[in-house]
Amino acid sequence: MISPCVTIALVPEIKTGPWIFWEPIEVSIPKAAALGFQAVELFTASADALNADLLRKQLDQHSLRLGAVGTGAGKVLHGLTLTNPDASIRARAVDFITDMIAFGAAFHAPAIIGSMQGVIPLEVERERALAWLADGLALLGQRAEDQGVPLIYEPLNRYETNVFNRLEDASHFIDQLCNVVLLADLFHMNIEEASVPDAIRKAGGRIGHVHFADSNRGPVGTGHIAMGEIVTALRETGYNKYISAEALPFPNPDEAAAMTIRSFRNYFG
Amino acid sequence: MKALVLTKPGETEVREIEPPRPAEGEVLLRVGMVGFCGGDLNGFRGLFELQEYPVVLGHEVGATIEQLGNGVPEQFQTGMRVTISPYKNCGKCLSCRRGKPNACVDNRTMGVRRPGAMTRYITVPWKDVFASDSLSLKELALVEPLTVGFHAAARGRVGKADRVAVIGCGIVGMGAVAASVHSGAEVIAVDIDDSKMAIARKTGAAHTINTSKTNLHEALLEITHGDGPDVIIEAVGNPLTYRAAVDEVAYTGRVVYIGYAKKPVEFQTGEFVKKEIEILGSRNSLGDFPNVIRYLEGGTFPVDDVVSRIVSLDEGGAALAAWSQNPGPITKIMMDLEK
Ligand SMILES: [Mn+2]
Ligand SMILES: [Zn+2]
Repeated sequence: MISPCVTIALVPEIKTGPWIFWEPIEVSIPKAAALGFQAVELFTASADALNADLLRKQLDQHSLRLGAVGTGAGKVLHGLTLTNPDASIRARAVDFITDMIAFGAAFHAPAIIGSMQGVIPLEVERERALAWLADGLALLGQRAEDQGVPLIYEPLNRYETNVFNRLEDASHFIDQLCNVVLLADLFHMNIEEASVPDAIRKAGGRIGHVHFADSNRGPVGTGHIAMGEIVTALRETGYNKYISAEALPFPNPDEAAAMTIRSFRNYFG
Repeated sequence: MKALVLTKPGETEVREIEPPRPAEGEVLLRVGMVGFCGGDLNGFRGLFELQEYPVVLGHEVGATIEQLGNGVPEQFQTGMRVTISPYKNCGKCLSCRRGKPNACVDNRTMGVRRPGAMTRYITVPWKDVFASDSLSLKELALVEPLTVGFHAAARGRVGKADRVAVIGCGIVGMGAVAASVHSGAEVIAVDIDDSKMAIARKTGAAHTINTSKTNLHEALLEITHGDGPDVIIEAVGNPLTYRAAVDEVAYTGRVVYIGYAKKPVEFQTGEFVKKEIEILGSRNSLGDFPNVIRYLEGGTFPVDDVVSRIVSLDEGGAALAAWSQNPGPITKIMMDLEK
């Protein structure tokens, strides 16, 4: 079943980011449940930044699931990435993500690698950086598999990374790895793909998570993405996981969440 | 190459046509099996308003990839066994813009409003091609008709807690039975033919009601302990079954209509309000091809019982005429292009 999920950010340092809810989980989880979301995607400062018992209690009480956990704080707060030329920083990035995988896996939720893929510096050969990334993802993919969850790799648009910007290129890369799936972020794809529906069809069963946002990264319905064909293509790949609203909280979190669930029902209901 | 053409109501002809070549983004398929659809039957009888004449029939396809046009992604390779989505939507209407191309105002289905697959070779855009390395050509030809029933079950939001009655156990109704069973529902199959009831049982229906022998209302009340089914899926298209669905569904239940009623239907509309029921139409299918392929790969569907008869291209016209004479016990006729 394709089900609606919404992001909750718990890292005040990144207040300008594309996440819908910003309030503590005691406030945002009940709001998400009341609107009809079936899961939440969390963005936390680290794996131990949030009390897991409290999270479990909130999720159980509101019959929500944890859809995924973001790992981006490793870069934003600590400067860690999987393509940093410094081997010790790459190792710390792997440790940071390993902890996030364990945190999510306790709730059957996968971890997402987005900004933790980093940006390949000009002075580093691309092949070399990709080999570092492959090493990191291979190890993390294995650790995730040991805990019964996939690992999600997210291609980002050109202004955020030069690693992989399009699903097809990322597909070739992850096909050499084990237990790594792709995240189709409609905002990034709208910038990079020749055709978003065709890119989705080509990636097919590799897609393990979807970030649901419009062309302006607002909630779906506030921009100009032609969503109909995209939704059709997703269905035709047999996608049956989360449609997760990772979008700017415009005009405010509550209205952005309500707009998202309306759009979800329009397209997937 | 030969093709079976529906020339006008009641008349078919085997004609010689040019083999196609794959254009940019297209796949050339060598057709193996093609199912005859209830729509083909209605087109033959002149009862299907969308049917165009003359047209090569056939849209339920099991085929092998023969050749790839330029720009076809590498997940497709020659020799793969595939089925196809035979629909072509306009991309512009409200349904298309909402991601519901199955309800396109200008849908063009193969064999209805554009050339079909009852011939040796066809070309299809790659995005309409769905592969399975374990299904046979015969099973692949069953995918499209089953998607229609799967879509109806999805429209009815059928789940574990539901008792679902499916009225009409032709291939479309059988798809709804299969999908409902697959969702964990308790399924009641309703028809007037014992052989179809037996197939529904094999598909996993917990109960069957032959309404030529048993009173539908009483049987449903008994099975559902007086409540009526939570969901009724109507796959006949007859005024009687249309009304029965509304009359028999539980309070606050859901009625899903797949059958096309060919005459106006009178309702006691008070039932809609009093029971606060949901009435849902269900047309073609929406993203159900991968689900049905996975379901068939599970091997629980009684494929050989469902396919009543296999004919050659030359026998196709006569088979259609015979089916029109006596539709009762036949669930699915297929054309084997190798025959
Ligand atoms: Mn994203
Ligand atoms: Zn349309």
